Amino acid sequence: MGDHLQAQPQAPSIQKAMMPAAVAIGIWLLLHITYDLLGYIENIHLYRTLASINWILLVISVGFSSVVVYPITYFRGASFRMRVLASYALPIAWCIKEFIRVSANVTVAEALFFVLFTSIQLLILIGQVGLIGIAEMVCRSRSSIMSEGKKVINAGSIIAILFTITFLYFALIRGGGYDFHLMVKMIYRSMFL
Amino acid sequence: MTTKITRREALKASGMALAGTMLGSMLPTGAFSAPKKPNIVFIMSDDHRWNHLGVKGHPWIKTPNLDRMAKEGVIFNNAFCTTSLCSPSRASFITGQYAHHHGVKNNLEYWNNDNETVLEHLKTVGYRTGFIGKWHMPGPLPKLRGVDRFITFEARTGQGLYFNCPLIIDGVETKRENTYITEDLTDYAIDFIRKEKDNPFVLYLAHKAPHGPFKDPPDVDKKLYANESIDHLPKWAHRFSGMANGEIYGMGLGSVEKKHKSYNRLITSVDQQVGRVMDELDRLGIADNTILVYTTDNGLLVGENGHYDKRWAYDQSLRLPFIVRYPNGIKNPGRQSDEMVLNIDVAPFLLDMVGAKIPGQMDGVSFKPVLQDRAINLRDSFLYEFFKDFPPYTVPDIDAVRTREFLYVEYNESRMSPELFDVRKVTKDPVNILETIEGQNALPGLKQLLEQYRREKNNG
Repeated sequence: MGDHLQAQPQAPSIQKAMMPAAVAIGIWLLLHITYDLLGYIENIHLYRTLASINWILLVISVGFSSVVVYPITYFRGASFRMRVLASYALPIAWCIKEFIRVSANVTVAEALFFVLFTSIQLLILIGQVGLIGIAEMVCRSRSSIMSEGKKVINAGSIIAILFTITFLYFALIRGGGYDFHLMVKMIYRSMFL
Repeated sequence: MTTKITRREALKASGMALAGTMLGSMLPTGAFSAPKKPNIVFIMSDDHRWNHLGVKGHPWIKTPNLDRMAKEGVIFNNAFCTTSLCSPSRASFITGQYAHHHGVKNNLEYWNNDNETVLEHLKTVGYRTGFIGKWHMPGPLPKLRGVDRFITFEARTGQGLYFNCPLIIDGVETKRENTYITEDLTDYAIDFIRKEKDNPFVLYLAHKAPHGPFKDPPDVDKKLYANESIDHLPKWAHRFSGMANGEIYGMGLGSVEKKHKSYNRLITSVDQQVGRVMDELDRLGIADNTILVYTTDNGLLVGENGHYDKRWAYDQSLRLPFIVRYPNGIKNPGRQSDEMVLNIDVAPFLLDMVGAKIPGQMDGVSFKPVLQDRAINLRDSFLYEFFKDFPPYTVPDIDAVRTREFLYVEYNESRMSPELFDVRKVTKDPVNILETIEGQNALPGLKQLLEQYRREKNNG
């Protein structure tokens, strides 16, 4: 998808992807630090207001980073594989952070299960699939692909979006999310208890 | 042999017979039979924070019926659960046992049908028994022995739905259209009371409310509390749920303030339904001979140290609202008691109140003497235990000891350090005093006490 775009053909693809991913991770870390620092504010109303804003930005950074990272890497001419890797850099960093946090209280195997199968992590990881699908179509529509005969609406993007919507339905909507929650618990039970 | 009686003696005898007949007709039926055993109505809500009661000085919540109950009975200032999680605590209430005994250690491990419940023990001494409401223990619905009426629900893994929640009525799944669950369960409870009013009966009424999701109840004005402040809560209770320790579950997306006010309206709704039960007992003329208990399964953290849950061992999770009203059996009603009572005490207490034998496998003790206003000391400390409820909750296994002064917490198989709280100091956030001089002075005794409890626990 869009591999032919080489805005800066002189730089290796990995370099074109690395910088946006690093910036995204940097912003996320900064938001974490500021969130913790806000705790020192004594004024309860000021704290609550600023913490709420910070929290929203933090959630956006973790859950929706690929909306920004993918187009930037696209227009920097990174390959499809590099664009996807760059888009996943922050969600994976989040998962590693969660793995470290959770492994303080459970075994390594359980922490791995947590990162791979519990709903928040899955929402973040699988959510990127759909967001990348949307981003790809948006990028195509903004680039000169059309003149080269590439379609804006393409099978890959549509499948990615449908996959994410299907997952969201089962994870959040069907049975109010309890069915999915129960399924994860049952899998855990059969594996660890 | 014949005996001659005089006319005077004959008149005296007939007069006494007449007087006896007249007196007999004036006395209530059964005046010379054994006194009727007390009825029992045990009402349990879900996640009701201990101080969210008008009578406990909450700045704005309205709970007039529970306040009345306290005024006519005894309210316990030091009531606790031994595990602050729904399923284990519910199992503790009904069995009188710690979680490590009854086996429902978390929301994953199944109820064991061999467990004996207080209901089956009451059945053996002549009680009609009803369980109405939230069962919510892992595994298939139980085969409860000695329960005459069993109404519960399985929707949402046993959490139920606030609206139109299908009920399982004596094993038959029944749709409940246009119903609100707290009201619906109360309707069934009142129906049970009416049917059994002439028998000694025990009713175990377990509500879903005020457990999340915090949806406004239909029987309370949605504007109630709208203009109240939540400044009494820790500052971490900001608009969106916290990120402390990486928790992003909490109360879910949305305004914590809005959700917290809905939570309070749910409590007010429970209060109204408790009022309906009290009114019905009054109307039937059986209130004086009915032991009415109100409590909850565990407390709730609303932002304390950034947590929105009940799984962490803080006082706000452990403490329960706990009120007992029994006009025929409470000396000096309207009292507050500082005795430490636990969820595991309820089963032995109820058996003791009706003169039944308390089975040896129960871990709790009866607090009947407190109702009689006798000077006793039930306990000065207790063991709190938590078994990890993973996933997605990442709280480790916990053993803790709660005394009248301190709460000492050890995290098992975890990199988390022990914590020590002075429960006498009321602060918005629990403050760990382990490294202070006061903490270091108290620590050896508390560690020793915890080890002693652990030994007892491991020895079964």
